[in-house]
Amino acid sequence: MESRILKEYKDSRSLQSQYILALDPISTDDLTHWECTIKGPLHSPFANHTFKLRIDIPQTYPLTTPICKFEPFAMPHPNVNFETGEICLDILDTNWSPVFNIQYIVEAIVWLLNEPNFKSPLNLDLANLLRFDDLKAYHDLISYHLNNSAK
Amino acid sequence: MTTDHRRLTRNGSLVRTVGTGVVLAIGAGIACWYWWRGPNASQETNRLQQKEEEEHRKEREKEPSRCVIVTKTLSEMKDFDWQKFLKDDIVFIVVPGETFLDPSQGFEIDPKVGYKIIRCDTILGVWSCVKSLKKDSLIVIGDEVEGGIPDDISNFTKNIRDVKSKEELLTIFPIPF
Repeated sequence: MESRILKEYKDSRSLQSQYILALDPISTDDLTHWECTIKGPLHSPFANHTFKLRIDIPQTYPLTTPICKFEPFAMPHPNVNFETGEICLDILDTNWSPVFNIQYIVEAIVWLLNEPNFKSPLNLDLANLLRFDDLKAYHDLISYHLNNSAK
Repeated sequence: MTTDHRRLTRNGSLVRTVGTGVVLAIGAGIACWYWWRGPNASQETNRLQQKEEEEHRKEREKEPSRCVIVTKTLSEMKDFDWQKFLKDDIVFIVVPGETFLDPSQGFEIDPKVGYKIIRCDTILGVWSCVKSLKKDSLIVIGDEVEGGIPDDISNFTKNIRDVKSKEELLTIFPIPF
């Protein structure tokens, strides 16, 4: 596990991404806890906002998946629990593969922001807005939560 | 010129010099006082204004949060200064087909509070927003909402005020036209 994480840490030093603004271990003494700052994708309700992700690497990594969460009350998204920041994403669950790495997970989460799936919701009200095809309310409600939590 | 006369002349110019000095000193003192007092007075005014705004903010925070469903009657109150209420902990959810403070109709909304207006394309969307917002109080003219107020809404808001008339609405938003 250690050599794999160390390699990912070295790779993260030269990371260049449109949406990943920072991807670093919280302390270089312990590479099992990371923090990531991502930018909301363009043409999504999250554009012009930044979000923090917390990534905890288990001892069994890469055989088991890292635990990724947004900050509580920061991410209004159909597949994110607004209160806890927990994320529902297949590669973080049953579709995990040891070939995936931390950067791949973060990129998948950025993709999820633009491609919500209302069939596996952790925020039922936002998922229902997509289900009802009420895109105006979907965008406005997300905008409300983002602006309200920023205060 | 006698010695006495020269002494008197010297004393006279001394008095004039001292007098001028005193007048200048008083003048400078007054100028300094006004110079010092000016900015301090405006600082004091700013401080009082800030204190007042802070007290108003705290007062607002004590008030229960409100979610208002904008239906026909409320949307037709066009001369009402709704922007004042947008400073409170309030959200306006606009039902489909109604326009309310719509920028496309020339309304200018302060962008700092404009996010508190949520416009919906479906009535189911309206209730999803109410459930997501979980405000203390819901204000709605139930008779104007297609299908009425769903039974389970009481699980998501502490107090439902089902308004029956425009007059009742004016008691909730007491600002004259």
